[in-house]
Amino acid sequence: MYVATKGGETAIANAHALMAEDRRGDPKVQEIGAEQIREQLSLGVDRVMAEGSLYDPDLAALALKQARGDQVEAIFLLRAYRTTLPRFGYSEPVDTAAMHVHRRISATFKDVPGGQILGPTFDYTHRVIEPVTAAEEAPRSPEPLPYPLPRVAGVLGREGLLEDTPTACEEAITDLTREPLRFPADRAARLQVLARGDEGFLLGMGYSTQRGYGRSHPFAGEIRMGDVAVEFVAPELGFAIDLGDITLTECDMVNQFKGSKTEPPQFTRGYGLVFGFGERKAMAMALVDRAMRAEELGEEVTAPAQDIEFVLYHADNVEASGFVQHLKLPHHVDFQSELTLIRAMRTEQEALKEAAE
Amino acid sequence: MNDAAYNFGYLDEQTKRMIRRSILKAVAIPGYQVPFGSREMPLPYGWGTGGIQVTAAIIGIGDVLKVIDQGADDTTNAVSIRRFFSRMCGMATTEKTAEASIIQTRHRIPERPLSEGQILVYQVPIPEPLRWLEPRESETRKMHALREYGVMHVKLYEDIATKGKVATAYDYPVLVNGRYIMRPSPIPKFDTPKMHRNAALQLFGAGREKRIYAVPPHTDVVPLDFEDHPFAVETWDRPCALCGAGNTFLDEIVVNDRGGRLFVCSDTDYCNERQEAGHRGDGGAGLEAAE
Amino acid sequence: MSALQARAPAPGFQAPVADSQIAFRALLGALSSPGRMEAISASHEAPAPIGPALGAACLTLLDYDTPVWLDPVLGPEVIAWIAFHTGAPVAFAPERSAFAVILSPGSMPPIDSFALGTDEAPETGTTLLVQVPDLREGRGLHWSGPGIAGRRAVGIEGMTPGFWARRHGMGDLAPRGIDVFFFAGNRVVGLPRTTRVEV
Repeated sequence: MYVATKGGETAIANAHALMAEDRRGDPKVQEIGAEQIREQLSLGVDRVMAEGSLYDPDLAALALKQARGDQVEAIFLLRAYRTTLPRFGYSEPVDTAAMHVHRRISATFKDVPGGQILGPTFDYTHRVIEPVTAAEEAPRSPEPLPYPLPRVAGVLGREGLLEDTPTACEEAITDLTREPLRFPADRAARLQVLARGDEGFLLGMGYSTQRGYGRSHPFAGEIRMGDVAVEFVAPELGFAIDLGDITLTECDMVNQFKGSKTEPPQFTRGYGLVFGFGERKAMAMALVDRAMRAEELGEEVTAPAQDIEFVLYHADNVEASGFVQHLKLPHHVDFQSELTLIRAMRTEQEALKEAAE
Repeated sequence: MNDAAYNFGYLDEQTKRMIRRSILKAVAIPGYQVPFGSREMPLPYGWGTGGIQVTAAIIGIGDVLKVIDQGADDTTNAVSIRRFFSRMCGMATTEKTAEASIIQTRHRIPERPLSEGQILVYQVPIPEPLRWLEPRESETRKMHALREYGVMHVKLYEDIATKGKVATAYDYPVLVNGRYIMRPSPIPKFDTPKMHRNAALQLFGAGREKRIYAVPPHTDVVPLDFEDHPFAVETWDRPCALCGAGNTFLDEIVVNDRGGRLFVCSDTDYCNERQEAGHRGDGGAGLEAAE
Repeated sequence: MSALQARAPAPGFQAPVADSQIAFRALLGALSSPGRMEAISASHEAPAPIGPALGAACLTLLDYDTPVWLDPVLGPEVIAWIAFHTGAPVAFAPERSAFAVILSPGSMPPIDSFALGTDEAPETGTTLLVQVPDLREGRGLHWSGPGIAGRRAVGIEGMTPGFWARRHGMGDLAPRGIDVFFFAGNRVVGLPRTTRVEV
């Protein structure tokens, strides 16, 4: 007799046990600790924090361990935990101009005030798998860097060649972790989606603008990575208190703009900001941000990256991963309905054919 | 008792208040999709996060919860969601439709008629009925506002013109209270008439799409159709092989690799109740004929 | 802040999680079946003239995301109680409110002066929380619409004929509109915008 859908409880318990066993791997190999992940796989931790929208390296490392290194799964774990946290208020906007930089480069000028600072980059490494990685050698203590460093954007801005930095807005900013996305979505809302968005998705969308689908002639005006202070004004106190430092990567992309009826020809900007050291993501974000400004700047909207609804509704990997993978769940009732319909239509078609003959 | 490490129902009180306010507006505007600040849940999107958030916002310690997926209480996802609520709320659960105060469902409406005071919570993947005709939310929102539903009728009519009938077998579009076109979630056409003037309150949660909508009790829910092509539900040419019911939605089970098939009730509780009451099907006697 | 500290407001819910769930289910039942009486048994100590059901509704629905319009008859003690337990900002203009707490229905602003929502976002209409002297089932005006099998006679004491006439005139605005809860003692009746009331 038919028992296929029975035994759900046992099946789930068995699956959980198997997963725990697979996660541990060969018990003869030493178990990895969350601290090791945090310290030695820190870029993986950074991505989990960025797309998980929660700055907590210890939790992100733990999530990566639990997720067996699956980034999207770890991001999901962090997001689900984040839901349960009470909200005390909003911090002051972080001041990235006052960033204590570890890396700062500009592709638009040979040299900039404060200098080009390469920092801990893969950029000029040869991608050769080394039997002993450099990290296992005794690390060299870094030279102290000048700080704060002036922004590259200021150089162009002084001549009026670059559009102004948007001024701080007085209106309350939409918080997409608490409210649904609504259209038209303003830039603050769009940037929030991009900051949480999937790195791979944004990379592909940003790349497509470079290949002609919404071309915007981008230059990396400035990329900086370093630590900034997070401050919070408690209403009882009336002044800002320092909650601690977080590491951020910021990208100011500079793009050609032919000008419009109201604006003279000048450079426009695309902006990227992510938790941790996430340069690829910050740059892709800046490209996509600029692409989505097409309508606002009076450009023709033709490419996928310029299509605001398309980009914003498909950038979140926790949503996308869930909905793609939900196809694994049983759908036999719907399939049965389709089956019945197809059979009925075939029967009718055959009857019609016979009648015609 | 619920798991003390978590809030009752997992969600914090602020989130519950937000969802509760959305539910009230959904009830006040039947069939209209209320945007809400859907949260990440510890289950993936697509697994019923919308339904889970709705249930978490309404459930109390005195409730009795039933969870079904494809009509059955023992499918893995139904088991998983039921366990989630047992852990997070500690309320009673049941497999019996008649005993439940809240029934969370994916893809089916129970066969046994629901009664006044019961709440049916649907898990919704795509809430927007016009989505396949117009992918843009900003456009579909306007179409609902202006009651501009011509495209939907054209689409259904094209089906009839080219295929002889409306080629939609599940998630069949309905008109609620004469105002809003609504997706009933992917329930089979067979279940659509059960929504009409149902005594229970019907709530719909779409987590990923961040929408909640509702059909109050005793409210008109009418499938879109044409006079010369009236809406019709699926029928089977045989009764359930287990309980002999001839008026239920049947799952088709492939029992061997020679194409042998068995037809049994998709609603396992209904089927079990009938069997307990002494009803018997032919146990698949027709199986040999099929082979 | 200092005024609040000087004299602590009366207690809110004894068990906030369970009490607000119980109160919400009564409100949900009331709005789902317009005109049907629901009882709210959750306990709190709202200062007079806020009754048990209205007080429970305030604690259940209001928070810092919901601007609330307060009936001018409400004294500082009541205002402090609502502010302390819910954190809801006060809306001075009725059309800017998500909720309105009304205790003198005879002199309340016209129903259509509150937020009506828009055709694209009808859910942004104000929800009125109106405390009246008494509620009666089986006698009064005839209600029909979603949530009601056939029709139901409901008596809401204290509402003026002008209120019903004005509300009736708003039918053309649908889906925009105003949803109302009426409270008396520990009882509540819901009146969503879709209910037709014969006047």
